[in-house]
Amino acid sequence: MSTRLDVKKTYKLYIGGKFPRSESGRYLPAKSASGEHLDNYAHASRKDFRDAVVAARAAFDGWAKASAYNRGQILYRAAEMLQNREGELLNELARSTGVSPAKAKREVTLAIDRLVHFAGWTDKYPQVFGSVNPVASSHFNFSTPEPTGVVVVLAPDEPSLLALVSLIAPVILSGNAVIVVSSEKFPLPAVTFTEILATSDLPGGVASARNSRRTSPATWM
Amino acid sequence: MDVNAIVDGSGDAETGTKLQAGTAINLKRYAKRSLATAEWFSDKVEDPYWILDTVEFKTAWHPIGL
Repeated sequence: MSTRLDVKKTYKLYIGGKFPRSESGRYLPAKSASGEHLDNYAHASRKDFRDAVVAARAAFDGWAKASAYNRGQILYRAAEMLQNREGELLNELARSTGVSPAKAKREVTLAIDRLVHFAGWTDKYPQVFGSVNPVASSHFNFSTPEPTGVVVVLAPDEPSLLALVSLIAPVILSGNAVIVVSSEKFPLPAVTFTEILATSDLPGGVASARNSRRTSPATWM
Repeated sequence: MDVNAIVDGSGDAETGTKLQAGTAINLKRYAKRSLATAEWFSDKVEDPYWILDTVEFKTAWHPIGL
């Protein structure tokens, strides 16, 4: 009898709430810290990046106009989903980065806490950072923070999940749409995280993820 | 491309320099988050000032007593 071959998953991109394959048709092998071949992931091209920018721009309007309370709810919901699918991420972290289960657990737990922390800021940061300015005429004068638009986040290699979450949360909480270039060395936890985000009420396009060599998006932008 | 800001957490000096050079031409903002691995686990990351890097301030005037 022949031995069974494991099915190697091919992780896809996450753009505009969908999981497309790369337009380039190219894939890269994802390796564990010890160099073992784990799975494959789509190698995002310049066109994929442009698609993500277009999707993010389209999603930005609705997300920026959502009430602060609603954005908080949605970020909190993402934390709930993360909690719910903790096991999947623990496994992903442990096998890609080779950290101990205890360390992986700490990272995922902290990532959840970060989301909850920043979810709380959605309806508080305008009070803290905005101001009523004294002016010489009979006017009220207010300065209020508004989201800037489409933001690209470059995530570091380690800690691949925690850093990613901690970088995204403060960007999207104010109403920005984000495009993440995930860790080049350990992309799998990031992709699993997008699979979780897709189920958490976050409007499609608010967060997009792409994986490729970090230096190439730098030249495209 | 049609991007308003970059938050660079890559900790990669070469990419950072290239991006900063690019921001001079077509980007509005560049924020650097260069932290060591251990620092990502600390309270340092729960920093509300990070929100400020990707917001713009809008000032509105409103007449009193109308």
